[in-house]
Amino acid sequence: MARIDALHSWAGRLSAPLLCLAVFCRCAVRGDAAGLNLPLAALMAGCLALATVSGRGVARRDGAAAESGAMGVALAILAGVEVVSHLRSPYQPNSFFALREAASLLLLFCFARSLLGDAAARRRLYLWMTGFGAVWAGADALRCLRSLAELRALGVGDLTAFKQYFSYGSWTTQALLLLPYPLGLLAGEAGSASPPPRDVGARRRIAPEVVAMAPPALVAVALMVGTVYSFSRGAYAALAFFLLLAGAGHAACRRAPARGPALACAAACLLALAATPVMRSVLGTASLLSTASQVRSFTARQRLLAGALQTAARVPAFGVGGGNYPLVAMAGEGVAGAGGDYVPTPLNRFAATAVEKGVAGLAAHVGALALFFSVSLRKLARGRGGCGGAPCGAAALIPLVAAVAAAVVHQMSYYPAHGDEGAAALEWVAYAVAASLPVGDGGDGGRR
Amino acid sequence: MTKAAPWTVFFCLALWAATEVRQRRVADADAMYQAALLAHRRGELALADEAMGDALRLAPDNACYLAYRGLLRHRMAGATDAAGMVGTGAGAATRGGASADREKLRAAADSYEAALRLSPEDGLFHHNLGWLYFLLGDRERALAHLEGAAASRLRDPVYHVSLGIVRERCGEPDAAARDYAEAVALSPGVLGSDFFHQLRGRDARMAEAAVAAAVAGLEAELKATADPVAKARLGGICLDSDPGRAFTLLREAVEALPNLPRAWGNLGLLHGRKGDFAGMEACFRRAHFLDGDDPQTLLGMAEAYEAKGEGREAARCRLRAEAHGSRSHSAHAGRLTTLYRGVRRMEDDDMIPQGIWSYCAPAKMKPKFEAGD
Repeated sequence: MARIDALHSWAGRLSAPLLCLAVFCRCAVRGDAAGLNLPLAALMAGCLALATVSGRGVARRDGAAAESGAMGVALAILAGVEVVSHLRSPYQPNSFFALREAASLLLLFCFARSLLGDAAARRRLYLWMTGFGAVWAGADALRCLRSLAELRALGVGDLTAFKQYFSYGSWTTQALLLLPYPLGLLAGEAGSASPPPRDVGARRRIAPEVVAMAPPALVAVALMVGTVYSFSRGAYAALAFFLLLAGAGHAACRRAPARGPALACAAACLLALAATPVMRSVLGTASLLSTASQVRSFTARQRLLAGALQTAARVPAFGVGGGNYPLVAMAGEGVAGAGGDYVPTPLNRFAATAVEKGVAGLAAHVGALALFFSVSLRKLARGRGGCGGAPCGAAALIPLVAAVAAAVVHQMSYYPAHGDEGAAALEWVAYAVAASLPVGDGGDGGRR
Repeated sequence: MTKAAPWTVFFCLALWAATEVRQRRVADADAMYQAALLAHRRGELALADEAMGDALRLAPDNACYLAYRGLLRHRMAGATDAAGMVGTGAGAATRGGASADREKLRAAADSYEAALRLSPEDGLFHHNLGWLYFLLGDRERALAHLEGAAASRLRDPVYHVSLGIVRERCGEPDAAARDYAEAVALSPGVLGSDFFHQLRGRDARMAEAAVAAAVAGLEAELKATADPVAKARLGGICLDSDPGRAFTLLREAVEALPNLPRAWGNLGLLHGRKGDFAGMEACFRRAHFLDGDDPQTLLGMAEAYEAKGEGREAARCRLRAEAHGSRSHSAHAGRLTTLYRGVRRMEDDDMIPQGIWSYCAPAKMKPKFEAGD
């Protein structure tokens, strides 16, 4: 038993970096690298099996057992629908990749759910994910600056028609889903701050708190500014939705917005406003239909969506199989882009799911999302925050819920062919983290 | 954790393990496919065919592998290439088929039929199968499949050119002219290809009729929609015949939609013809930023640098143009990884007859390649 305990403790320490590495790989590797790297996945599967067999899954010990179990069952059903969709698929080599991806996502969820229940593990995950966000934002900033310099040298004033040189659509979704981690750390730090004493040593005690809040605040701002620099209407709508939902969530929970997140949001807005060289392009993007490029893009999306819905009405209950939309789109009946060109995706997450996985897949998909929101809202309804430094409580749950909702909003207007592996991984990890977050009287139950 | 949770974990682990086991088989098939590609590049077609047989034993339901085996068998049959089949007078195509190994052509057609059963909408499979049936003398099936390719959403101008060639050979010149017009309207670059050059030599009236029909079609589209892409295409067609109109159209197109690389390139050409080398360079720079791999753009930049007396930069652009030109691939080959997951790009020239892609592409690059410059 002592050995199992030691192994479990070792696995617990490894869990956050492993999870972060797995998500990073899925975000960084594009194309056909569906699923997880085999040694990494095998290690995660081993840790998960160990936690389950030893009965030490930390989720067992937290208070929100029934809800998190339901989330797991909903996601398992989603993977089960993928199995049936694959077995009935007219072209299985493509749908096999979708099935493998679903298996990897379920593994990620179960791994995160089983091993990230306690405050220390959760804090480690938040730190790692914030670091990942910093790397992501840094890489994006470099790309933005290079493109900006090149376009300026070419004498281009309006950057909206060149948005693909600033940011990929998938990046925006991933940035939105990375936002809750620095914000969660900020909320934790803000919650942990004891009221500063009024003696002479007060200044010395406040300084470490400010220093600890600076890196996550910077990462959050960088991710938001990166989203502003995408010059994508869908990204702007998603970011606005995120800010609105997070604000409303805080208001509904009768909490004053945490100082950190509020500062980060304000700084992001100020930076965006201060970025006068691109102000014209930002306003152009926000004006929705002011350029020929925007009108073409909007018309094409409308046509694609209508075509995908027509196709979805014709496909069987389990769809044409994951990853087969590009093959169906070649037929061309009603799935043309702006100029009637071939577009291998309907650019809408739900339309793609409806065609590829049918009514059953869409129902499972929407059901899982609905369950996530309902479980989170129920938690928030009885929640209270403040966990002394560890991300927990309503203050950490609200950004997660807002981020998943914002990502869904963004994926209504941008969804790549074969889906977005990185965003899907981040979303399923968010499900697990939200299920693990203790909200309610007792908070973390003194397990810190 | 509820009672269901351990079952969720068990299901998760079982599903993951099952997919990983199956993945090993997929990876083995992919390794055989890679071996076949390597053998093909070395010219060892029999060895490549054998490797594809092994790949198909491991993954019999992979449409891409089936199509590649069909392509290999066509290459093994020794049929004449595109220029040889089309360009040497009436009946050349049929002769090209007659000189080939019919058994292998039949086997190639069977492979493509099997691929189409798995992926019935693939325009390239229809296109290649259409040509195989044509070589085998089955004109009805040939036309049916080539029409299927032309109707595909992939909208490759080569599909329309192929359909036109076969219709021309079947004695349907009017229908052929309409297909050529479709190809020109989709990609005005076809006008600069070896194919169009030979068409002008073979039947100047048909060539002119095709251009006129393409212009009329695009003008009608412009009246209805004022689409900047249609303007750019019309400008591309008028480049030689009416440079003034081409300039206006291209200018309007890039003002409305500044991310059209070919339109910027064509505008650069017109600036160069006027002697405005600064304007030419600016346009080609934009085109290069938007599509750094386009050999035509790189050649245009080389000309702009030469006009400025910057020989070293010009030489660098020419070298890069040749490097990119030699790596050019068919539209379908470029989309292969999007259409078929887990399949790496097969031969850059994945079309039947061999070389039809470059035969229909602007010919500006070719003499330099052949000279090994």
